[in-house]
Amino acid sequence: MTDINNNQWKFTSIENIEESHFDRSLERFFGMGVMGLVRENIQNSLDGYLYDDKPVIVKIKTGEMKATDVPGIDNLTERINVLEGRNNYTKETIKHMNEKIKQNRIRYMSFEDENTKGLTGAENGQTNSKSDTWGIYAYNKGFHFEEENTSKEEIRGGSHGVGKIASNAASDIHAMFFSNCDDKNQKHLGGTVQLVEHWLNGQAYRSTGYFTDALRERGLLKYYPYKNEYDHPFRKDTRGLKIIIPFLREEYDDQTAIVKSVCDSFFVSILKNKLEVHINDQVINKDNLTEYVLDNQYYEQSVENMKDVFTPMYVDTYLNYPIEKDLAVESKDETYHFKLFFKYDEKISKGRTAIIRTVGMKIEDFKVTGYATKPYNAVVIGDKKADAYLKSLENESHTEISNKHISDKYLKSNATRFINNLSKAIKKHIDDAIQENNQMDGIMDTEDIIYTVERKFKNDLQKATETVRVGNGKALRKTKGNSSKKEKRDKADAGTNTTGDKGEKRNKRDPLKFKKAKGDGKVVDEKQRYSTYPETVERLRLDDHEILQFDFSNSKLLTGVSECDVVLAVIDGTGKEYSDEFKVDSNFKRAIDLGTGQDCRLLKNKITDVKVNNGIIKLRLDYNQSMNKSLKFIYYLEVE
Amino acid sequence: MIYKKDANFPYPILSNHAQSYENNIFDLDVDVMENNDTYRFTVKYDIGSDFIKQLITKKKARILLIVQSKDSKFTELEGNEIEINKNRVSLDQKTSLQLHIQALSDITFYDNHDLSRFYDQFKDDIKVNKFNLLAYSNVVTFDAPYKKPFDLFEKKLDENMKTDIKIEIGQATINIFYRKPEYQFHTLPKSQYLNHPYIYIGLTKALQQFIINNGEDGEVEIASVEPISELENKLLDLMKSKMIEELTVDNIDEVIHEITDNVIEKYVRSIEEMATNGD
Repeated sequence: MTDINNNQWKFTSIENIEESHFDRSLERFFGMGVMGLVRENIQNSLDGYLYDDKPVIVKIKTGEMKATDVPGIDNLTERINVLEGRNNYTKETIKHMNEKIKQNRIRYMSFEDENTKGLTGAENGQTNSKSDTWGIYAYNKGFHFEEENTSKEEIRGGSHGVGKIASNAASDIHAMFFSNCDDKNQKHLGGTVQLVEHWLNGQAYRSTGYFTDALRERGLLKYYPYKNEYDHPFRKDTRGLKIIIPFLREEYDDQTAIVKSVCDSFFVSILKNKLEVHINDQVINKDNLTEYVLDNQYYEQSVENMKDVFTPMYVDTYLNYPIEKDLAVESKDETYHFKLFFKYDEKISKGRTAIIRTVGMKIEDFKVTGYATKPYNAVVIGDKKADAYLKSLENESHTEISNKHISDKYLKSNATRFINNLSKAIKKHIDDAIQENNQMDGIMDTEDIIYTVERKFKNDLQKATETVRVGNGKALRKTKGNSSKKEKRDKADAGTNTTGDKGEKRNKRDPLKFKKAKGDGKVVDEKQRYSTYPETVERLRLDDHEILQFDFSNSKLLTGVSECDVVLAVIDGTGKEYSDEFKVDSNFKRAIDLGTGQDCRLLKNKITDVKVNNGIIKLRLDYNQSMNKSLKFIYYLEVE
Repeated sequence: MIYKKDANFPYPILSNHAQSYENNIFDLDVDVMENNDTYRFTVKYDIGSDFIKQLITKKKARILLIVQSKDSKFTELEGNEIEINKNRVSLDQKTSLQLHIQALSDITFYDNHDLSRFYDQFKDDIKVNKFNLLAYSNVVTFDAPYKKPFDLFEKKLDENMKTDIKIEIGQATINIFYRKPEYQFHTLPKSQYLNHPYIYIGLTKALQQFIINNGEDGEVEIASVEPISELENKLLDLMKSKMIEELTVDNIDEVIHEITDNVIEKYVRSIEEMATNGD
């Protein structure tokens, strides 16, 4: 008898408590973490695909909500508060639930699919009809799994069975909701909670509770779902199913882990454009999957170090190494065909074969017995027939191909035959590849132990060329470098045009280059500034004075110029320039223009009123006592 | 410190692009050889001034080789070869080299006839102090090193052999015969490393043969060898490039150490790796 006195959560009443533990699957799914949750939910969505030419879209969201917005939360709190643990594990879990149910703000995660069928027949409520998938999903557990072993024919159908418990396991209070919108735009909300058998108000109840309405029909109680009138995150307005997990456990609240789980398990579905996954604001689709896989934020990129996770290798193998011939694998009574993708690479330290279902979900990193450390990587994808058979070999959580769960003797030995033959077929490929890459006869590969290194030096030529703009828009290439006379001669012979737009040979470069002003802009507003190449400068330091000569007779830029200012900037050995450090007025007593015999003016860092005579400037600079005679300079000319 | 940027010195300096000297040439060209421990630089240079050359001959100036990678390293150049231990300098594409000529005493320039005309009237007054720079060359940098492999070994399968393994010194290669395919470890990853012990034995045999063919009293002076086969030619090239000068019955292991790159360590590491990765 079920208690229907206005409680939104329904628990079937029982005579007495017989089982004091939580559903065993909870612990197992909890152990698989984000990976298990993501796989179960996305797989369900893929199985419900609606179009051949459009990908199933799964939107995964995590967020925060008010605990009071969880439908029927008061009912749940009441139940959880009376749970009693009879062993350590159960006690601990109940204690954890008791603490978490007190929170006001909680985290949730949801999986919403689009381009999918959604569940059907919700309006029929609890039925045993196979076409009413709502009834199966909402009110049954383990519908598929336990039944399959008994029949040779029956292949497990859709996977809406044990998988749902993966979502319960992700909730601190083992609760999950499913929000459905069907082809007739009917919207329903259901939910399940996994507690332990318990007493409430003098009545014993089962461990599983359903968020559902119920009606009495001909004396029997029948569940009918609630119409979905709830707000975000429980709303589902487009056709398809949405799973909502309130009280999300901290361990599952991990965007990076979700992204990786999606890529690890569904890279084939995504690359085949059968699936697109949105994780909060990140989208993974056929066009960008490889970006995620090649991102070292998510995956180890060095092939040598891939020892647990092989996804980057699988993706490479799948995209770039298809094998023309199908892999044929026999069981006792059938031959199954697989598409094979195979890569051989000496750098690989763990050899694995990704076994992929037709929908594109990876079942297992299959180890071929005895070949787990061979340098290969492979992906096998079954055709429909093979897929159906593989499904029957999957363990409950779809993560391993094995015969352990099969109890029928014939089926078990058939499965063994099949798995051995699959191994054998892959082995043959590995052996062939090894043969091919390790010829018995021929030159031995010793290139990384026996070799000579040839190092060549190169002359540091024209290393820093940059274009310097001159006022009227023509470009000069500033050529820097230490090219020697010898090379200059060679170049001159070849008549090459290496020095830039002007087409002049390097040793005929214009001795001036236009220089943009740094900092002291005022001056440059009125005057053009040129830096000089050292080859145009002769500088000679004598006891108490120095002679400075510039020869610009080759410069077109200075044609017609009769007067200029000379700016001095100190330069150190590494080429670093200190433009404002040297003041001429405090270091020189006087500056004499040797062309005219006149004194020039000394003003801060420049010598002004210097006469230019046919491009030649000649100065005598008399030192002050304080002058540091070992300084080296770069000179700038400023011209009106 | 390497002079990479143009600077105006307050006295005449010889460099490829200062105009103080009429014949302003100071060219540098470098070759390098290396073995496991040492770089050997062979330095060729061209100085355009007899005055400067004379100063060097008279020990009034000296040539310094500057090797600059992370730190600068100065080494006096005598002759044209310099050996530098690999643990003191490491060469990469950022390494630059330059030659400097440094005054070892105060130098007067009155008899320097190589200067440009500008200095004619001042020559008598020019004096460069002890330890100052007289000249600097162009800068050379490394290109990416090129590894040239040597095909020294050939393997062969001979299932009719009486022995499990046999090493023969051929005309052009050292040949290793295996009686069974699995002796080549051909099904294991990194099988080439697992064959390193055979390679070591092969080299030992080949070098012994080399001594027998070319040596006197069990000693070979590498520089004077005239190889009689292609294989000997290869071995000779290899030893020369690794700066081996002498091969004797006693130093065969040392020679193998120099001409190979960690042959034993690579073998050991691949075994360790297999042990760690094994399931």
